Amino acid sequence: MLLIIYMMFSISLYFWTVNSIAYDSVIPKIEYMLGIILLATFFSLLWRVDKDKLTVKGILISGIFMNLGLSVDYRVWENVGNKDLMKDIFMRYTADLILMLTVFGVLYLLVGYTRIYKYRIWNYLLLLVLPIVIYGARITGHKTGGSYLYFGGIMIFGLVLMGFPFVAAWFLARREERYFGKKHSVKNLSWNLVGLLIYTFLLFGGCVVCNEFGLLLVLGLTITVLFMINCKNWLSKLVYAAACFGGAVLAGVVITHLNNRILIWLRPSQSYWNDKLAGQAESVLYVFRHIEQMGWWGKGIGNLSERIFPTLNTDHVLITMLNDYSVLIVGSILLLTILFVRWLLQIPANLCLYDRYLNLVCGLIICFIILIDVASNLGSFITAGIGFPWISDGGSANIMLTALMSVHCGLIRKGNKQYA
Amino acid sequence: MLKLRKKYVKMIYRIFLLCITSILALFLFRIITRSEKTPMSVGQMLLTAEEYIFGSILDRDGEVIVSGSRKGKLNWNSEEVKLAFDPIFGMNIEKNLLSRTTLLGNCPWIFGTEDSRWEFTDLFNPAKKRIGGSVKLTLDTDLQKYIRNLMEEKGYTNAYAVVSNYSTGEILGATGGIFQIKLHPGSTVKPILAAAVLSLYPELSDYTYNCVANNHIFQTGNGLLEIQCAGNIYHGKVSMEDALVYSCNGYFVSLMQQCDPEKISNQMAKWGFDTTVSYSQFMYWDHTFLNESTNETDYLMAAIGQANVSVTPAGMHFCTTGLLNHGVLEEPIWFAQKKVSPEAEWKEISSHEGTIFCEAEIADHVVKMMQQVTERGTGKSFYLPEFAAKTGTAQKADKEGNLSGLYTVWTTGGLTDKTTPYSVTVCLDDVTNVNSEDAGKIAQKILQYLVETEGGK
Repeated sequence: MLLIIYMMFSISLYFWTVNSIAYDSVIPKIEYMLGIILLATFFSLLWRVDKDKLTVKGILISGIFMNLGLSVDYRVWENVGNKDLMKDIFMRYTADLILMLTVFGVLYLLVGYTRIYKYRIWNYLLLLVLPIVIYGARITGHKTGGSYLYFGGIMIFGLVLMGFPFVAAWFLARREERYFGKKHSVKNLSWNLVGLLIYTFLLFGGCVVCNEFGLLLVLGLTITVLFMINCKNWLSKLVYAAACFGGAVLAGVVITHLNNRILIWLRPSQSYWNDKLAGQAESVLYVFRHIEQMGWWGKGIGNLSERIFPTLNTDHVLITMLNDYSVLIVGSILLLTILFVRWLLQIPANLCLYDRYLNLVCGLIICFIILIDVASNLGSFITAGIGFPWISDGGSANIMLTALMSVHCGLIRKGNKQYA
Repeated sequence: MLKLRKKYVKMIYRIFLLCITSILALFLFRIITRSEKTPMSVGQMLLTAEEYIFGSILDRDGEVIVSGSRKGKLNWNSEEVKLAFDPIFGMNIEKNLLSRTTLLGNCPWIFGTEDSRWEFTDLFNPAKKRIGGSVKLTLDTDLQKYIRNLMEEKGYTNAYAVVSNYSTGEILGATGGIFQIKLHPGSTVKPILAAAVLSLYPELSDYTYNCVANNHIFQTGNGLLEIQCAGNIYHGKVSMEDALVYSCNGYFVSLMQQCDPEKISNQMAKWGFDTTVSYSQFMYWDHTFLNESTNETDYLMAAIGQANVSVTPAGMHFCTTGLLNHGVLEEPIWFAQKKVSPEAEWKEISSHEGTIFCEAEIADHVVKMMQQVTERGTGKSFYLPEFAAKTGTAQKADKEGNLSGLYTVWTTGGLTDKTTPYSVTVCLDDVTNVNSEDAGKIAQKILQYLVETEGGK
């Protein structure tokens, strides 16, 4: 039944999209159709392998998001001529989809059926690799819009967040044998937590030198939640909270572009009259200006101009949904997101501590990515340059999100199997 | 070993829900209160104009002047109506959008910018057509056609006219770029100067000047300045009234010498000179009087509307309107009602409080003097009962500053009868004839038409 509903949605969206915009070339249509077939085939296979209802629901939601991603990708398709045609085909969402599903399959099998990911060597390797990736981006990478975002041609945002759950789980699952303070008390700050903090601060430093504040934000929020859960010492929590607050205020004051974004967030309309901020506030102001004309049904697929929103298929994809598709679609996306997060945060029974933390960190990362994206699209938070899971275009970020989801699916399978 | 308890995970989920709710709440709050709504950029308005079918523009009687039939297509009432209104509407939106000196620049809702599709019924009508709003003007189609035909008959190409009801501020007719073009006002500035001087120095109301050859050479800090009256005529001993009636240049130059330039300049700012002038329904280029010049020659030449003095036809008209309305300019308006979408209700557009130029007694005194202009002065060839007016001729210079042999001729005034509170300003630019009679006769005909048709109705 779920598969039928999913297929109906998928096909309806396809026809709605292709009827809204016509291109001279048939390639975008073929690409889009291929993506749909690929997803449908993959999900059919997966549901044959794993009949767990919990897994099916989560996969279904991500599948809907991926379909919307395909639709948005079709919407921004431009026939650039034969010279770049091949590049255009292989750099688009359908090509990313093949990678995403491959990563999902591999990780799902590794986590669901093996213990390889828990091997010390793998975790030590990751401990080493993540700082290399961030600092390597600064040393070897090219500046893109004032930031060093790539290492070896792959976005560090995706690479780091894909590895971080394993590292965090490894730290948190260590035996807590030593504690800060004169008294040897479990209520004091444990050394493994201190280790995780130091390690994360090392990553923060990398984010700062690379000017990758989106990654810093997600990492910072994730580590804060983990710290608050694990630390039993109120004084340490207080000191940590004060340090975070101080750091955020300092960053907001010292770093010009962060300062500008905060000003825009607090009073978008004031930014309109401020020459220094005017150009930067347009993405936020657009929604407040046009929401009345968007109405219940949006302005139609293809309406939002790339001249106004160069990031309409990436960071601001929710605005594209609101403007082009419909507020009802956006509402449905938000409802599905809530269900998806609920699904992500469910910890399967009978898992070891490492698996449980791994599951939690994966969930937390996706949670914060969603929150930051929704808030910055609606002007309720600073513009953070983070896309919406799977709907936004962005190969490495979507592969990372698929990897985190596959870990969760694998753990559900493992938990159920152990229970059985 | 610490266990990861389920209660923490539940708490995280609840915090997530709280965050999402807060994000949406802040967003909805900003939408509902419209606290963050700012004007659209030109690019966004152009895109909106492409999405929507043009709305409708109606004249003061509700007659459709122009409306959209489909995207990018306009239906004019007739070709004659199109010719009469096109210049002031600014139909080329790419050029005129946000100009604030054209009708469409001031009524963006016609392009659909204020359309709202959040009605409950809209939920069941996803294919609802996007049609822009409507505006009802204070302009009268017949009067507009009449003015245009009059100008065409006389063969003037650079001609400007503004007609309004000075007791309400409603503009009834307008032709040419009345808000954009800045010209020397010539002697039409004299009534304004007279009112400014009387406001500052009431004792100068009795000031007299002997208009003879010797007295036309004025001593200034920059040397001697010779200013002749029009046609090199000498008026003899003149009072302020006579000086205004016969347009004696020497009197006003001499009068200005009795005053403090700074005080006069500040007083002129009340009339819109050397300051920014903008009204809720439009703005026009700022008038200049001294334009920051401290040169005494510029100051004295300003007495006869030359040197740095410049004004738009609309600006001159509003000054005259203020005088006729006892020193108070009712806010000028050219649209009275708006409808943001075809389904919406007509809404009155409220106007703001008037602008006080000078005291009523002073304004009335100047208007009385202006009435004499048509009875026995420079405007007697276009006499009408109760017609208070002032004529003016300004010499035009070429780019190098040499006299070009071309003139700008003006007539500005209105009927003082309370039952026919109409004012008119006519400006003919780039004419070779020094005589301002033509402008006056056009003004006279327009007023006669208004009286006969009871304000164009």
